[in-house]
Amino acid sequence: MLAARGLSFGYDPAKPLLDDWSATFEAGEVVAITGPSGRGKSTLLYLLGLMLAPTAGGITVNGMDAASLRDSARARLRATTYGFVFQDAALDATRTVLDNVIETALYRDDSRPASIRRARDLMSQFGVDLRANARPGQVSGGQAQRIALCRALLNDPRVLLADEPTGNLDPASADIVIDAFHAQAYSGATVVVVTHDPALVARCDRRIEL
Amino acid sequence: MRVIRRGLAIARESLATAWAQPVASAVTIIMVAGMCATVLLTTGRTVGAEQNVLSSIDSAGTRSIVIRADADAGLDSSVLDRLSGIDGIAWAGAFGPATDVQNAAFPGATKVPVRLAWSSSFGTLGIPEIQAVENRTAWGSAAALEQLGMPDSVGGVVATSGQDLAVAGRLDVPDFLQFMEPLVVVPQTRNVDAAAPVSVLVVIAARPDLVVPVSRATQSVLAVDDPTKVTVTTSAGLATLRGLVQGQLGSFGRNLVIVIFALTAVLVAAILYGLVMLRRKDFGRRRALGASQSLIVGLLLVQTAALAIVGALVGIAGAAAALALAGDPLPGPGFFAAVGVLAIAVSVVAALVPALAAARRDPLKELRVP
Repeated sequence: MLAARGLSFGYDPAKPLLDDWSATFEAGEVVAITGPSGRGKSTLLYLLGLMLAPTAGGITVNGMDAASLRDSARARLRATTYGFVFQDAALDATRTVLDNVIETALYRDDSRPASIRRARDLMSQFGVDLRANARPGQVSGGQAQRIALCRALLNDPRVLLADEPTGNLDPASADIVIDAFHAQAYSGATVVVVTHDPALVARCDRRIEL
Repeated sequence: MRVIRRGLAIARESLATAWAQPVASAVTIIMVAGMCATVLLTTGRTVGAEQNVLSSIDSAGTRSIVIRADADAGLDSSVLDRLSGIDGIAWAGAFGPATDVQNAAFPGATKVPVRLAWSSSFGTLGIPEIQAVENRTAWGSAAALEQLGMPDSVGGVVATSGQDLAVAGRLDVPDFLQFMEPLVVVPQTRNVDAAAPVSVLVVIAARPDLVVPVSRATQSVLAVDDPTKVTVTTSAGLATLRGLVQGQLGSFGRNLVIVIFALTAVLVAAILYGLVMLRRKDFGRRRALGASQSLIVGLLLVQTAALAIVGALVGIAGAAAALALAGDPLPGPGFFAAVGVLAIAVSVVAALVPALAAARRDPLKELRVP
């Protein structure tokens, strides 16, 4: 379970993007965060993802106050408990697809052979296993987002955060991504998605408008 | 076990990252190689020349102490036993009064002086420690053997006293004994109970800076009857000159090394910082996905160290080849190793600031860089 309590944050203190904002995200549900551009949707996602520290309030992850942890502990929590899918996939263009998928194993001290086996299973599940040795520049946008999804799911995360995951995808690829979110939620994970995509919003369990 | 596995994982990731960025890696290798080559082609050449100059000075007898005693001075071969108790002596030899000998096969041939000799090590003169005929075998220098007419370095000589000696071979005359040429010696076993007169005592100090104290200590154990009949000649002046040469050339070399390493370190840091800035999105992504700041620093430092090792090896090999091809003096292996280790250390230290900067990048900000 993920919860925000009295969350406040603003790059300019005079214009806070979030002011005393609270919400609870239950395990097993897929929640869409929507709203006009510039309202702080992505900022909220990065706050929930412990990449930003709120100016006030707290974030609870599975009952633990995570926002007040030291940087190294927050990084450890991101590596072990979280999965992230960014809008542009954010893959390392200089490394192979397989290297990208197993990248986070290093941050968790996971066994490399076991991580490679898990990565190959995920890549096969999402139809990118034949591109394991390709570079990200050699795959399509839809494939890149599925590769990013494989990376996010490598640690079977309890919290999966996605920022406009279907923004650059065709409907078929978008369906694959949404199905993956529901499958992860079904396994007991909390899934939070920032999106403008009505199709994605329609398939989420709940919607929060900013 | 866990620490080792983590260390190996970081090393593998660092090497993979370096391999995946050939241009940045090549730039780093070239910089470090250039650093090593610059130091070796400037300071290394100076050090090589310094070692040659010092070697020349040393071979001319920088460390020698020569004591000449008149026949009635009372200096005898037992002095070598007393000298054995003095530290800082590399070699000592005592020579008796000279007696003329000539080739026994050619009466009336050129006469050459022969001396009884005692030494802490006859091996220095190329004479075997075990003699075929103890105390009765002579050894001559090339010059002496030529004058005696013994091209094969063997034969018999007869002294003016009528004593016969067998010449067993040729001896090597070190620089510090050149003043005794033409030299023929009859090596003697040391026997305190049968001490024989000595007219020349040569002592070689272990280091040039020990010449003065060793000279004083030697004079204190001469045990002569009349000190006024003994003259001492040392190379203290030459040793002082050697110290000055070594000090000035060494100081010049050290200063040059410091300047070159400092300038190159700044250059390495600046270029690494630029490379980190080019890869800031990469570090932002790593931080967002869970890499700790210490891991980012570790990855960059290990990567820089690995590239610096390659660069140091390339630079050292290239500079050594260039020096050898040009016929310039080469510094010793220790200098090469020191330059390599220093270059790697400087590179890692120079990478520290960019690494810390990379670790502190805001992941959110970097992920939004197009």
